Amino acid sequence: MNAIETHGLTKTYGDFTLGPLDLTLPSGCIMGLVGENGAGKSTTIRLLLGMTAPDGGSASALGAPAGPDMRAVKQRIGVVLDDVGFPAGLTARQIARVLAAAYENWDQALFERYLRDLDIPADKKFSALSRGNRMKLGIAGALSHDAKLLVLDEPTGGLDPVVRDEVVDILSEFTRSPERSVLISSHIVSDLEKLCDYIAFLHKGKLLLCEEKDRLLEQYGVIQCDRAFLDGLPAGAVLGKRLTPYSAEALIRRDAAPVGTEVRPVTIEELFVLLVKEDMR
Amino acid sequence: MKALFLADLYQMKMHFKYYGFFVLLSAVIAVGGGIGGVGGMGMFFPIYAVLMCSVLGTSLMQLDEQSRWNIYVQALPCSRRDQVSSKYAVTLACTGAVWVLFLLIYTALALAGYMDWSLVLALGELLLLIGLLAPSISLPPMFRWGSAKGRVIYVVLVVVLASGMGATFSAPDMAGGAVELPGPVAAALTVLVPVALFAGSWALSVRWYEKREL
Repeated sequence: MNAIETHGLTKTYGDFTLGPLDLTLPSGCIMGLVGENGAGKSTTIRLLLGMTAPDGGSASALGAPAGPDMRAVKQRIGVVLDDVGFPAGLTARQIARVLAAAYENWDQALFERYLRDLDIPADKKFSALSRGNRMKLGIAGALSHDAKLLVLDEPTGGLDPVVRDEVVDILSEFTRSPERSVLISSHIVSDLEKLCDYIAFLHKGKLLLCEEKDRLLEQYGVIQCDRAFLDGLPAGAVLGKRLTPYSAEALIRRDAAPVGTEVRPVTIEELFVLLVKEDMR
Repeated sequence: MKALFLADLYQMKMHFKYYGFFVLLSAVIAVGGGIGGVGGMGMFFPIYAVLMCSVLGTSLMQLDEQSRWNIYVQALPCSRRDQVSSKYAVTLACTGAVWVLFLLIYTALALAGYMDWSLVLALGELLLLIGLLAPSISLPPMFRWGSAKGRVIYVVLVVVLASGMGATFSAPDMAGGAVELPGPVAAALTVLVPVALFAGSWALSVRWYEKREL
């Protein structure tokens, strides 16, 4: 069973249209949803969780169709939204009681362990917590009810590098169990590069690529050359380029590179930036 | 819904402590007013206390929107119907508790001979009507348009309703008591109509909130 599936999923807000989106996240895998601000990452997540209705297509999570009544399947989904919105006046302890009443498999001991390990103040009002602690509390809540699917919307956005690293460690630990899947959206690509098995690139509501990370890194590379060399490459070989007055840097398909061309490995961040720049040209 | 109800109770404990203090003060004044024969004092404060409790649901909604809890809840195993029901349940629980408190006070005053039984009944009906009518009118616009717009629409609705009622009851045939129902029928209607309105208001709020794009 796939943890997440979307088929021709679309949603329009004013002059922004998301999709049509075809995504598949196999069970036990981690998918990174990469895109600039406003690319449609949060909208995709809201559609998957049934928080908003699509204009077309379909989506499902853990085999259940996304829609207004996903109560049963949400017992097995842990969610952290970009703006963790617990009631401002509640403390972590009170929030835990609320979540314990919502989730059948709530594990209070595990939640308390997260509070201790992540150094989250248990008796401070939510509104008095720093952004980092709010996010950590959201993650602790999402991980304490034996979720099989974790959906995270920009969990590392706005966090300092130390906290970001802590968050990445927690998520790595969570995904040690093969039955657990994660969909994580971020525009901080380096975090996703450490974690993900699959990468999906969203740009202006359109899916540019959705592929296994290792295959992406195998298939694509970067060359540095002059403009004349670049112009001589076969059509379709170059997916994106960055031109300076003196040289050129291009994202190319390795199998289309002329024999003897020095192709260096591409990072996911470079891949995304070069693809988006090509699209904007 | 249990989780949302619990969150609402915590919010109330945090933000509306003074409600409890005011209700107790009103109860003392109601007793004092009843014993001292100052009917106006005994009536104003209970009505005000019930009215305050009856708008708790809307105040809680405003807090939810400020903290974006209304959005976050949708990621939890809770439906929009649960969200609506929790606000109505909190309102009903608080208003009901205050209503019972004042009914007990009035009953005690009647047993002690400080108040007529007919007045106890009339005040009980009046408090019930106010306690259920206010949230029945205020909550649906909040769920349909959000707390900021909803409040404005609520005020407009109250003005329209009050003006309509004022105009109706000041008409010559109404002022003369043209519409007169037998006591038990009128009493039953006074109870049943607000209860039916409250139930209808909940159904409308659920319908509107389920369709609203958040």
